[in-house]
Amino acid sequence: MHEYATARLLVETVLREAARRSTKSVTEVHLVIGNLTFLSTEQLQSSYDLIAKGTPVEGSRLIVKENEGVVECDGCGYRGPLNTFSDASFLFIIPSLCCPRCGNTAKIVAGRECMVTKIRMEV
Amino acid sequence: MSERRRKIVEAEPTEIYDVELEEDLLQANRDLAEENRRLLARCGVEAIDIMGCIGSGKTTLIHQLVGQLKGRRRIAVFKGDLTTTIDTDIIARHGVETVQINTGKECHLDANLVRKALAKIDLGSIDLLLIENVGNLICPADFQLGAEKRLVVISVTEGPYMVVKHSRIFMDADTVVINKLDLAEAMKVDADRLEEDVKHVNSNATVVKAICRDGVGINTVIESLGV
Repeated sequence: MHEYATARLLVETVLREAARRSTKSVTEVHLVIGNLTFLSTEQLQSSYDLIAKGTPVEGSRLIVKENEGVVECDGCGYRGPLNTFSDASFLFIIPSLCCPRCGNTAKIVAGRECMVTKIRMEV
Repeated sequence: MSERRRKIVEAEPTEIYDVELEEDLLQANRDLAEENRRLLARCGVEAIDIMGCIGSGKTTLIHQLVGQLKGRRRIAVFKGDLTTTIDTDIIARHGVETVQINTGKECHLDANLVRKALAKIDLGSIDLLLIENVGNLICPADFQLGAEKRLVVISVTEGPYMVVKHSRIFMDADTVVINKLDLAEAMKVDADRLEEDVKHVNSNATVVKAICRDGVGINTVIESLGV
């Protein structure tokens, strides 16, 4: 539900970078979103297009890559993807903080980011 | 962001520039939350972020917590809502300090709104801050406020799948209250199953089954929060 606000921050960030180097137009923006955030790529995309209108960002491609969540376990030193549990009656798999190796509760170290990684622009 | 983290690949003039960044758009809120956390710690205030769906019983829980704790703790309550002061008026009857945070249209509190509310109270005069988030189990998961502990309230009237459908919010929870236990049978909802689901997602969370309206389980919530 906060994709619009996030897209506004994104466009502001891109415009700031574009203004630094008197850019004619921005052609591509690369964004990495952690899969443990509640940001929907589709809504982000439509908000981005809307906010970019009338700016040098208009018409640029927003390329979103989803980052897998990573947990780290203090108990056994495991670092890697989250454990999941599923049930035949559910349509999706539910992530769990339970360490896949030792069962202790692990902490999230990646998967909550919404990172601008690259901006391609024409000068 | 610092200049040294900015890597720039320069193309031929009048061609294309690639600017490489590592700028996290959600970081601004995390930084503000960290500032709030430090400010609260400096003033010796324990803060608890209370989240849950609309109608899950967040306000009733706070009403009961304040009733039990006001004799021995100096409490303030922040209440996040889209609009109205209905809930703060209920809590203010206890004689504790309240700040209503009306978000207008936003579906969650964020660290900036909490910072503004913190400026409205004398932090030296309190030692416990209860922050009721806007009724929503989705967006608050992405927005830390700077509270030391996070509590999630669900109720059996929301059905049997609240945890599995909103698992991410339970990952950060220290305490999960399963409310309206007296209605479980009528709702045909198995509260033990809800507890199991919470434990699957986050085995560190303490689960308390409660009937907040009647004060049942409130002492266990207080114990689990260590307040």
